[in-house]
Amino acid sequence: MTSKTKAVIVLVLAVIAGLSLYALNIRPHKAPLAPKTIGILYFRQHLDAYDGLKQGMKDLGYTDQTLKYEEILLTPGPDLYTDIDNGVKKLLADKVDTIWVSMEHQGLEAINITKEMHNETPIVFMARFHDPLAFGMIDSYKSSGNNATGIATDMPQNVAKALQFFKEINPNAKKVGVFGQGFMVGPNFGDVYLSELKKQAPKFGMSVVEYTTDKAPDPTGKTWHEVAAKIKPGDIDALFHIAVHFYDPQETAELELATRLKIPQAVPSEDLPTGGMFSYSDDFSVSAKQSAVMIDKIFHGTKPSDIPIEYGSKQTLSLNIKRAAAAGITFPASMLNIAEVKITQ
Amino acid sequence: MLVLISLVPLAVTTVLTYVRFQKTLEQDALKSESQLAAQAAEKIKSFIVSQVGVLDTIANLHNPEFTISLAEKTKIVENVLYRSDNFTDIDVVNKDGKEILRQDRLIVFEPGDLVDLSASDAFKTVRAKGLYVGPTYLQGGRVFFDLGRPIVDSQGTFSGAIFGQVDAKVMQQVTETISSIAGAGGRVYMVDDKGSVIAHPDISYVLAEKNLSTLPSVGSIAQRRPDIELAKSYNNEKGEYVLGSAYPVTLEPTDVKIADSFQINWYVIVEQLRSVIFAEADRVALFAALVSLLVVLLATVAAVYFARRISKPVEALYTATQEFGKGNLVYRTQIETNDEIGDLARNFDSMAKTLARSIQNLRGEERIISAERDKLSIILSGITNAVIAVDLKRKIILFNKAAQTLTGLNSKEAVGRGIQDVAKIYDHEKKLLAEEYCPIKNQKNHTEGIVFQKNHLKFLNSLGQERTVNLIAGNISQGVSIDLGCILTFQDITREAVIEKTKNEFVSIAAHQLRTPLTAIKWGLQELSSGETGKLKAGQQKMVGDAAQSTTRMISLVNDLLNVSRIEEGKFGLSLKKQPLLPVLESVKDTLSGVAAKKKITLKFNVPAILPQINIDKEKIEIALNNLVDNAIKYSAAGKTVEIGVKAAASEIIFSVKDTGIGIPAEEFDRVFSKFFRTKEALLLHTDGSGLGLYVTKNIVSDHGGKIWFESKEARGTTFYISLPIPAKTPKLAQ
Repeated sequence: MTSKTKAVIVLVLAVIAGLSLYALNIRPHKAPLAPKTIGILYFRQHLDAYDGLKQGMKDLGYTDQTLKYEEILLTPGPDLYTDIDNGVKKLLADKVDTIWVSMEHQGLEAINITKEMHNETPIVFMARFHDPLAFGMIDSYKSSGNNATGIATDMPQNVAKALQFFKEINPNAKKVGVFGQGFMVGPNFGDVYLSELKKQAPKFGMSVVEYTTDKAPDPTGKTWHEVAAKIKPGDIDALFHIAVHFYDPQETAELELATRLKIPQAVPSEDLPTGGMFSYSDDFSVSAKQSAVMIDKIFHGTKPSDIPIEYGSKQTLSLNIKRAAAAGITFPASMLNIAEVKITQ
Repeated sequence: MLVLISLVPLAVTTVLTYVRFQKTLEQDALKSESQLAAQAAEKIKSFIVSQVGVLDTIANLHNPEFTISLAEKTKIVENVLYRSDNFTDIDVVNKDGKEILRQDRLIVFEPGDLVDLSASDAFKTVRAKGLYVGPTYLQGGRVFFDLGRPIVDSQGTFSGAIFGQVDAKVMQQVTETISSIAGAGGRVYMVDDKGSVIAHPDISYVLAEKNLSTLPSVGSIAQRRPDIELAKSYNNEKGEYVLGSAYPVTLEPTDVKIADSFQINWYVIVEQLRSVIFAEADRVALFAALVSLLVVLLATVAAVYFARRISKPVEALYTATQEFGKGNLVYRTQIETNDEIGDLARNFDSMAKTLARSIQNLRGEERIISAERDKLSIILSGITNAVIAVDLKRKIILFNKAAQTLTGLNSKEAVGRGIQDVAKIYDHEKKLLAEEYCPIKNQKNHTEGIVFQKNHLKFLNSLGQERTVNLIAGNISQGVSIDLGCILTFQDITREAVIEKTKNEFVSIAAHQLRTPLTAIKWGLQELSSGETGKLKAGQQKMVGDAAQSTTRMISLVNDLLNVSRIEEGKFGLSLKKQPLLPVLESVKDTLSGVAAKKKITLKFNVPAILPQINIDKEKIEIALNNLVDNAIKYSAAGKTVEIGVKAAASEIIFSVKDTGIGIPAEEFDRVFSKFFRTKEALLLHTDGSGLGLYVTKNIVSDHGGKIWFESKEARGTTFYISLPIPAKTPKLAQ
């Protein structure tokens, strides 16, 4: 037997051995995709969602080699919409495969810009403060009718839940205070919160005490503190914090107020780190994972208009027991039982 | 091929095992699907039952016999709504179907908003069956379904109904959870009786209100019986080849207080990727196939290896035979195994070595033979005589260049043809047959030497030309064994014959022309010598005498020449006549007595008194005897005796003429009977001899069928003998 023949036999045996090993380890797998890039438009407060998105994409099998992120961090301010527009255009110029936005405001701008530019780059949004249908982003929940899809937040339910928890903490609560007109960045941010609060409070036998100001927006908080200083114990039985305000640490100041008044304070989940005693909101980390599934579908060829808008699948009750205790408040067992986050330190 | 055939049973077994394994896996998969579906259905059922329980609690509060205020009832309903994540709306109707209370999580209903539901399917169904489970529907991006229960009093009398709008997200969660249990590629979802997806791990299906009735498992729902679980393999809407089964969700009387089983028009669909189900079987099959392939490969390699091991020496032997066939006698098999093939190869090499040596020797001999043949061919071609060799059938096998000239045929034309066709030979006018001049004898009687010899034969060649030839036919002793019949040598003497004929004609003419004047001269000299014309003086007489003597010799010479001429022209014809011999002897005595007397030679005749008569031409026999006696007188010294003897034997008469003359040198014995032959001594002593006498004598004796020979010793004398045959019936005493 010649050396050439031996070499051929060894080669064939090696191939067969390789095929055998392959046969023993064969698993169904998806066809590989070309590397993709997601353009990210987000606020610092929405990092939890952004992280959720990344984790979701990772769970779906994407790696650093198959998926890139081009992120643009937005900062609330007078030029916010200009920054959003520039960010969207930059991402489109960079030919990202999909634009993901952490809030409905970037989403609506992206939809409008792509429409104007006749650009069909898919957009996946997270609607936090508005119903995307009412906000003008989609034609229906079943189909957006455009190049966008995303995750909605059930605002009425969340507001109702907050009111319900106020009643559970203090069944005799009758008045819920809120810093509204003049303190909120408006009109398209906290407006739904305020309207839903006013709409649903009566169902819980409560009335809304709205603190307003005619003064110019005051990022320093002086105006707010002037108003808050006049509030006396018994004026309100609970404090409902509305996000997106001119005075940046307003939720922290409101916590001090609530503590002083010894009343419970509810905040959106993203404000809980700096203020408030509890929050009941969508778990945006989980919602972002839902959006990751949508992006995956888009990457595999599904049009955004064929992907129905979903509600965030998970809501979380978070309790800051320490702050509540500082105000002399004890959460009832009904809340403690369902709360997933309990902060005691 | 044999390896492949031997693998057929293995392949069949593997395929059968694979098919059985697949069936087992399919059955297991169906069982698994059934369990998953049952699990999902059970969870859905539990959920519905629990929600029914909530509604039953509320229904009890609205029992007419349970007297609490509407405000209290409303407060309880509100608590239920906000305590429960599942109900979003609760509606209470009286026994006539009119709403009496409606609470919603988000919407505030005033008394004026309450409506009559008596005509609704929900109310009718609850009233008739005690339970209502409505279809799912989308509202604000969420999925809901309605649940209804009757309000009955303690007597079981229908007093109204209670309906709840239920958030179907639990169903969604159930399909997600069970799908995760189903494993890779598996999914569990729910459809209604129209095939619309009502719960799915991918909620998009529900929100998009996808209808999957085109899928066999879903489409079969309309036709299926509740007690039969349908399972089919098909490509689903994603193009995945799956094994799908449909299972109904049914509430039993024991689950809720209802009279009969209540089938909700919901179905749990379980799908599993066939590639996953049969992955193990496929792996096993592939592994088996690879193992089989490996076996085939190894078997093939082994077969090839052993086949080569066996066939290689055989091929080497075959190659060796081919090489030897090509003449490569130094080639060797180069097989060094110690088995039978090796022994065979060694024997073969040994045989080949011997064969090579033999062939080499043969080639050497062949070269020698070839050289000899070439040499012989050259010699033959150089021979001026025509040489033709014929085989035992007298067909020409050798034909030299002179033969080509003689026959007018080239070698190619002649070889292979019968000698009779090529050479037409005549002895005078008689045609000679090949059997005559080339007798073929068998091996035993085949002798070596000349078998036929004759001169002056007429040869008629293929061109019609006539040639004169001398023919000698000979045999060799090994002729029969080598298929050699005769070797014929033709000496073409045509030219010599013509010359000879011309010469003879000349001699004949000259002799005839001389003889007449010589005779006249002789006659004139005899007249002068006789003195009739006047007496001659002594000197004149001597001169006339000498002239007459010379004339006589001249006449004798002319006669000899004429005789020779006639002999050679064949005109010497004999006139045989049976007659006595004594007259002949007397004539000889008369003719030569005078001559002998002049030389003082005594002629002594020893003749028996009685001699038989024989057939002779008297004149010719006299010439012959005269020649012998005249020579004896001529070459004997004076005073000697010449003895003439005659003896009669049984079949012949033998004449002898004995002298004591000069004799004949032994070296000239062969030429004695040639024309013009004379010994040196004779030439010195007697210059007047013609040298034709013995030639003529020999021809005369031969023409009589006799023989002539002699005995001689130089300076001692010679004795010539002539034998003539005695005719068989000749009386011994005829005289």
